[in-house]
Amino acid sequence: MNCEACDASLIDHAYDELEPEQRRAVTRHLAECAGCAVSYCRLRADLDGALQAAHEAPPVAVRERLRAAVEREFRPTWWRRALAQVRRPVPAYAVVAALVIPAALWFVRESTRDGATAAATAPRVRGYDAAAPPLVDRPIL
Amino acid sequence: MAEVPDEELVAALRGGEPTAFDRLYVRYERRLYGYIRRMLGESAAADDLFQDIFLKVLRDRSYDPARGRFAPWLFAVARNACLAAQRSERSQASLRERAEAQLRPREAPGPDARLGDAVRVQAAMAALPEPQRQLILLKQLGELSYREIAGLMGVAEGTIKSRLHAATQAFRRLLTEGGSADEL
Repeated sequence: MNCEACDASLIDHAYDELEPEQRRAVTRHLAECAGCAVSYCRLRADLDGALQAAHEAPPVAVRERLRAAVEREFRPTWWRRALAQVRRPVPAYAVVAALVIPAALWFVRESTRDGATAAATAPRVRGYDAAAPPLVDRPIL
Repeated sequence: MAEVPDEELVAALRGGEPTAFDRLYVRYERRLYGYIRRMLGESAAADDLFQDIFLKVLRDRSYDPARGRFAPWLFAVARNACLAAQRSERSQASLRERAEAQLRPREAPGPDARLGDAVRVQAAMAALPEPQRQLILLKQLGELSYREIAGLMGVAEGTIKSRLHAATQAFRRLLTEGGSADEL
């Protein structure tokens, strides 16, 4: 690439609009040619100056007004918020599930086994007490 | 950590996450407000327009974050809004008067050399013919590609390229010579 071709491409290079192959050629030329490199630096300085001068932050009050409007408009309803909380991928959920599920299974298994053993070895009769005195005045019929 | 794309933030905001707005706002506040201020000049009108444009873009469901970049959409809406505001304002004050008002520094120039440069750059920008100023602002502040600007303005990409070259050269000439738009 010669200086004339490079000069024609400098603006596109500064705007990052060159094809990769062309960009490499310009970069190579800039590395070898001090005159073009200075031209490019001046161009970049002017464009960067334009950019810096054009940047301007809005007043804080504008941001606050806008934030309030966005909050009103895009804030989800209470039930959506609740659903989102539940759906959040919180690792604690997994820990709780890992503890609770085996404990629940163990409890169910143990309670059914105790019940079955008791029923087989000691059948219970409701209302019978062997130590209590007999009810003599109990009507026969 | 990878930066979340604008489009995902818009989708998150519309999905009910107002905090996504804060991140979008930080990315665009200075660029968008700067664009509007350079286009309109007057601060009060710029404040209202900035708010309207931001809300309009976020509300407008015709923009689909899955199908296109957010920045071109934002600046297309901003450009149309600014042009409409300019048309309505034109009856009250001429463009020349506004350009002169912009040429005047808003604050007294201090000893800081950079401030002097900024005022000089702003004066050169203000002295540019409006179509050229708009192209440079869309390219620099909007960070739009030639293709995106061409799509926004409805002209060929090559046309935008040659116009932007001319605008850039005119801006640099104004900057170095301190001339006025009449010389262009």
